[in-house]
Amino acid sequence: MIAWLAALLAAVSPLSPPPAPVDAPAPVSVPAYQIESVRVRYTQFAQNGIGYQSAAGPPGGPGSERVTIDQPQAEVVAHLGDRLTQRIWIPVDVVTAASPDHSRYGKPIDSPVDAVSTPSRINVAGSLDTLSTYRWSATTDVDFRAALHLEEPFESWSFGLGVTRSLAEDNTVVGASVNQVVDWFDHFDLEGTRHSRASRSTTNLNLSLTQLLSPTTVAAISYGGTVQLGTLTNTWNSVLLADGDRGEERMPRHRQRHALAGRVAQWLPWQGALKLYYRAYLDDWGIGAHTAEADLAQRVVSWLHLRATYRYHRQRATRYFTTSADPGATGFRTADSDLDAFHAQTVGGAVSLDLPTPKNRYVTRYVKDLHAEIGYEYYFRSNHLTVDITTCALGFGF
Amino acid sequence: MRVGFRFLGSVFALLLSMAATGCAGRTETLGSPSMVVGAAPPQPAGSFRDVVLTDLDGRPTRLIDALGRRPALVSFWAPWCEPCVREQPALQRLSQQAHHCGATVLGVAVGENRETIADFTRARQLSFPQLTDQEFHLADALGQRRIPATLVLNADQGIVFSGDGLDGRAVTALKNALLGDPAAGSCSLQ
Amino acid sequence: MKRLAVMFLLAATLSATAGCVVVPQNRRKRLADPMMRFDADALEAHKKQKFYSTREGAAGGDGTPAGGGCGCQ
Repeated sequence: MIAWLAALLAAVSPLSPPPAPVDAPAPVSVPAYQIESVRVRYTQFAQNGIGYQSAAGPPGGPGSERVTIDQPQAEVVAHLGDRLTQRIWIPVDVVTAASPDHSRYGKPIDSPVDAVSTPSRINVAGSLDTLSTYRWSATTDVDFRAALHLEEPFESWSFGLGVTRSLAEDNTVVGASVNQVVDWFDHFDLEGTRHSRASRSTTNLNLSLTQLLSPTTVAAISYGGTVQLGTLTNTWNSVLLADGDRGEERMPRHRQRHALAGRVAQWLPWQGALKLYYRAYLDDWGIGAHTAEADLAQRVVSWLHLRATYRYHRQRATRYFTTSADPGATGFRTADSDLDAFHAQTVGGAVSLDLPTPKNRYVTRYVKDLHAEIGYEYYFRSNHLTVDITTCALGFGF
Repeated sequence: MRVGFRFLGSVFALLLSMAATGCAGRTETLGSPSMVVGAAPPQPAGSFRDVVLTDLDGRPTRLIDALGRRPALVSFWAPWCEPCVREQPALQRLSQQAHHCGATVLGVAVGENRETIADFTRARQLSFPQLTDQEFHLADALGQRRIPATLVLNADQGIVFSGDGLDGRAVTALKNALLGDPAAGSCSLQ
Repeated sequence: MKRLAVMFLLAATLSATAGCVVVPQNRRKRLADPMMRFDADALEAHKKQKFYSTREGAAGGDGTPAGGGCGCQ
């Protein structure tokens, strides 16, 4: 298997065969720097539910997972010369009533722990993500990704290198990428006391193949393998014990994850498109999952299309999951509802508009495309969690 | 489950390697053994001159009539093709220079109706001549399956250059075609 | 699991045989339509990835940062 992967990496590497000469001379009068597009998107997630890892509930019962997240994002795509494309993207999460903050600190000793109070009742998280894509030759692109993520108890750096090569007149595209993420975060215990810093490393390999099947059909399959090392527990998550008290979550310091996914997009003769997605997942904590998704788009007029989506996800619990742990046991344990067995569904829709630019020569000189979108999704799952997702986006093409 | 994923991984690897090696070498000509979907068989050389296209006013126009007896650069494009759209401003600038030199820059929009192209060129203030080849008659006659694709023709309407997007080689070919045309004026193309 | 393996084998065979079908570039109007893109745009993709990777233990592990631990959602 490893030999196969090595052979594949060699096949898609730009170093094999030797770097192609510059086989596509520069287009005439290419500007040194040109902004191609600017996009902004705002999303609000309103979550309600309960989970055993949250201490904001009655003794012996699950606690509240209520949270509201406001997520503004901005993205700029620019061409630097004729070979380099640069994407800079800034997502921000403003999280109100974040559930990790369930400290008893400063409260009467007999008061119930509260998952929605104190240090980060409002938590602001921000990222800076850059992707540079270099056109190595007419058939090969190399991209480099670097990202920094900062939030109150947490910071994360990530780097990635990827190669895509197109074959058979771009009918087939194979890709390989490697990503490395390093996280540092404050180690809070259940009482809200900070114990130095904890860290973890995530290394990820992806292989993908996209294939045109006809002038109206495209399919893709991909494999992703990930190895995580370090503190993989949420140190502030609690686990309900058999004696009614709460203990800390304990998880292995190693996790290996595998995901296989397939997608198909089919153009429909009545100006529509149907996309189907399936993903199978397995890891060495015992979680296995199947996810299926369908997305149907329909153009109503040339500048407006509607989209409807449905997603079904079913997962098996990790072998460490419990809602009544033995107080004397020293093994791994978690009560995190995200690692429990459940099935979840998402239904949603969106309206997408490609607006005509104003018939003003000063405007059309700069803005060539104007895109707007509004959408709503409802996520609900079998272990008591619901989320309303509202989103809107605006894009400018130059 | 673990064995199953190992098996799936092997299938995936096999698939990738087949795609990477199986069809890579047979892509450049229409005569290749690969099955070409949607393209008509190539027509004999020379037949392209008589292909009838449509101008933006809806009039049927032969390519040779649109070009006249002048050196010309012909760009095949479509509004859904991003690289094609990106090179339109450069084609617009080149057409203005070429006009002073006695040459023509002509856009041939493939697979689209003339109303769509007329709207597009109006919105982007493109003033150089355009024809539409909705049924790919000209593209197939020339064996042009790529877009953008650029052809340079001399004053005798012989093809002296064939390439992908607009680049320095295409402009040089147009300059050379002008040098060989006694009717061409003195000017510069960039 | 066996059924899953058979499904992927079928998909693999389909794709491998399709590997020799060539759709000319100028016939890809439908494939280039924005409605046919697997991910609508990068911001939409991020929204989805962040949402699922912080709520489902099985999300992530395929090109997206693995969730959990950040305490942000």
